[in-house]
Amino acid sequence: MNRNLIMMIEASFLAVFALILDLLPSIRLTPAVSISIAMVPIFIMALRWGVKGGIMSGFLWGLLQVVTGDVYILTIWQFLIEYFIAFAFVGFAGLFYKSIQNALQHQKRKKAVAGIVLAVFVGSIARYFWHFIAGVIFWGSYAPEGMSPYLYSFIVNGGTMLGAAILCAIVLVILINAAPRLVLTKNTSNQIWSEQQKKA
Amino acid sequence: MNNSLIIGQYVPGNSLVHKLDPRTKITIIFFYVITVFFANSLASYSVLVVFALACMFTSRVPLRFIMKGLTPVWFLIIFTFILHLFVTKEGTVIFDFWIFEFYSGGVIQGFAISIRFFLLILVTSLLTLTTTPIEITDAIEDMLRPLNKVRFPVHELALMMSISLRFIPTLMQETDKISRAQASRGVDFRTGPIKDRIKAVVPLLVPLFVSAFKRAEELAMAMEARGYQGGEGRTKLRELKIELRDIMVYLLFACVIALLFLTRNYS
Repeated sequence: MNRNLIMMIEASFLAVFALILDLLPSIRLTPAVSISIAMVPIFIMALRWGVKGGIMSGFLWGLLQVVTGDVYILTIWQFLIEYFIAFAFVGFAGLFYKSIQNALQHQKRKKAVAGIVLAVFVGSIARYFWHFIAGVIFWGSYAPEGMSPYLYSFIVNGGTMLGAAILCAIVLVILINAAPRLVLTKNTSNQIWSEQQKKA
Repeated sequence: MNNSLIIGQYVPGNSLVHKLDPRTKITIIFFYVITVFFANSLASYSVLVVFALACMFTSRVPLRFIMKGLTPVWFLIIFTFILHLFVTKEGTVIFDFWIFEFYSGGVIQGFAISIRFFLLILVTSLLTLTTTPIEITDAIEDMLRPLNKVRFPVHELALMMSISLRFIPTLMQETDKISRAQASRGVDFRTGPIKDRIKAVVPLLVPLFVSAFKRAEELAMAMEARGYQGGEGRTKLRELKIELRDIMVYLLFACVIALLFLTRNYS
């Protein structure tokens, strides 16, 4: 079967989950909306299919927010950067998905956990870098003179980034440890299964 | 459950704004958002306000839906207003209170910027109030088509968008169902320390993702069985068409922009 098609459909579904996790109040873990686990599905996609799948899913997530009206357009550049670039960049968490999958396959717990945490931070920093830029642009055109847009944007976005990344890293580590098949695609999990059969 | 399952803000209607081609609406909003930053005099701001209010009234969207879109940004509007009030020290002192002095420049700046915010949010939420997500997707696909030349996968993107939009209700229902099922087993997402709530989210996400992957495979299989093989030569059920009213609205908007630049302060 066409694996590309499966990847596209999975990217669509997980982008929807990212949208839903941001909206459903019943599963909101923190009081602040900005620090949420909404990035988790995109990370799963990135660890499952690599950068391409992650970027696809992230880009869709941004686009879904645009078409459902969940956006704030304050200046045109801020809008384009935040909704068409920033979310897609979460996908860069998939840079070393192969070695993470490998570690999971051979049950090297520590290596897998380190890989997942690293991936989460790479993805988050890539995303919030763009929010930082957008913040500078936005703040630059609204703030009174004499306030540094760089410092303000750095503090706000840096803080949110750290919170979201830590939360997502914890959830992902627990999640993937409980169910490695979430990031191992069919081929790889078949291999694990046959290896386990051999041992037994 | 019913209300929380509706994503998007579309309010059905039969007005001119509803009937416009989504591409027209997106283009006009795009240029409106840019031109808002050129306004710098009372007259030019009035032109923009009149245009936005005219759109609002012709759309005949009930006021409460529009106000709902504005609620999350009231804070931002008031915050920037107050900030300007305190920080901008231009013009004459209007009144002083204790250690604070309020300058006329600050009040004017604050007002101008609050109005700018208000207009931007009003106009962009009018788009999503009068246009279905599917229409917006079709319009975006059409407007991105030139990117095909640089090998940007426009068709694939449109396909994924329609799959996403189609499955939003389904996947939300699924999320709701599984979270209820887990709640009935004693999982608690809402109370308790954050550590417990993080742990509680795992038995929700694992079955959710696993069933989504299964569903994705089934859908891919169904599509291939029906002969899906990518973008070349696919036709559409809904075709977008530019009508006379779209051209009229473009002309009207061009007049508005011309008027704005005429009333602008160039000194």
